[in-house]
Amino acid sequence: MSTDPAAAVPVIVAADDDQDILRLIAFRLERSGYRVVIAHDGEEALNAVREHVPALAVLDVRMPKMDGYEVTRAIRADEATRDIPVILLTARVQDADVQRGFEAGADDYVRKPFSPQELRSRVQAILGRR
Amino acid sequence: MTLMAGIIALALVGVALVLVSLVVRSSMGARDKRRAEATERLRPLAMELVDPDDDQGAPAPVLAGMEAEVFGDLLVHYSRQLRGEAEDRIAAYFEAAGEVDAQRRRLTARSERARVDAAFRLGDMASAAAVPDLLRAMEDPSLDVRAAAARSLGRLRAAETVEALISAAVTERVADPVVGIALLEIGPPAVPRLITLLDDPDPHHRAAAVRLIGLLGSAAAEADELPALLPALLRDMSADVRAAAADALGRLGASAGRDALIQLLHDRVAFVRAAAARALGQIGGQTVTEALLEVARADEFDPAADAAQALARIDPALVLTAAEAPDAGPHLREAADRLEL
Repeated sequence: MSTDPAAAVPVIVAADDDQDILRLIAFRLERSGYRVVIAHDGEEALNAVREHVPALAVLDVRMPKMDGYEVTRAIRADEATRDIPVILLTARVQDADVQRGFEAGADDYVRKPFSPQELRSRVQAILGRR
Repeated sequence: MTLMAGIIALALVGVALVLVSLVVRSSMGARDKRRAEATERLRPLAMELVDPDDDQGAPAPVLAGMEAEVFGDLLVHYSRQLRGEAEDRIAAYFEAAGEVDAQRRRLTARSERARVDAAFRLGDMASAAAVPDLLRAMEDPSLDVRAAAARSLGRLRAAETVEALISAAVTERVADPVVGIALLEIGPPAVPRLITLLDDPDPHHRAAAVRLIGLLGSAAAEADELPALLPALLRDMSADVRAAAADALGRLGASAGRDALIQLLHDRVAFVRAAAARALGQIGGQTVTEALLEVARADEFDPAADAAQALARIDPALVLTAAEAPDAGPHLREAADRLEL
């Protein structure tokens, strides 16, 4: 049995191509008690998910290389990662984005502009259910 | 001798210019480096300010010069992506630092560039204190200042300015898309005012209101009255209003307007028929295919082209079959070719 305290800390992969927002998301989630692995594009996000098999992934919809939908679909298609919950950060009031996110397999979404507290609540709600 | 002196003088001037350019470039590089370092240093303070660990939060840092600029830029960037308490804290910082007042004063500067910059910046400072000044800026003689003010009123989600924004669009003082985006930011509070304008005696006002409802899309779709109101506008006296209503119904995907849009395919004005065809393509449904097929085969260029594309969206197999017929016409064949690409 592992006695490493770091092993008990849930890992979250957070991905956004906006460096300032990504660092703010990491800042908020780390202070809420999670270990955060950051990614700057969709490809990096998918690699991070496959490598770390996190408790949850927070993905911006619009990212270079692979968008948030593609990453979500790839996560769902892989036996090793298919059960990882995904929260998508979607643009403003685009209902179509939200619909596409659920079709891709996302568990929840947070609309941008967003409140950091709201993001934390959504993360806690999903991880609390597990 | 004189020629030689001239050549030497030109060479010296050239060397001097190269040296000046190198000095300027090096100085700009050093400045950029200092700014990048300051951004890294100040980012944790900015994050702490917008998302503190407790309700009170850390006191705002007192900064001056380049550091104040960099810190302000970080907060402005956060303000575009965040809402709720984070936005309130950003507004409180800019108000306490005197930045909101400084930008409000710049709205009356002689330089147009300064006024545009101030109108734009105030929208990202998240302070409602700027709303009256931005409303006045909507009357600025410069189109760019008015557009920046409209964008910022949307960013501030100033619901009390909806009428002024609509009026600016109707009177063409600010472009429709700019006002549309501002109203989108304001969201549902904008819709009742737009609905009132649908009865306006001036057809320009009615057409602008309908176009804006179309731009609002899903936010406007939440208004229960729209499915009944928009089809009625397809019978408006003004062709602009009829076409705008067709476009809006298409964007809203309002199936309640399907029958009226099929009737509109026989409108006397070609651009109205084209708008009806596009809208039917967006709304879809097998009941519209026969009517679209007829227009695609026999109408004038624009309605026929739009009808063929609409049909390709709804029923690609039908277009491929219809394009084989001798009387298919060029537009159905074009749509079929595109499908096969």
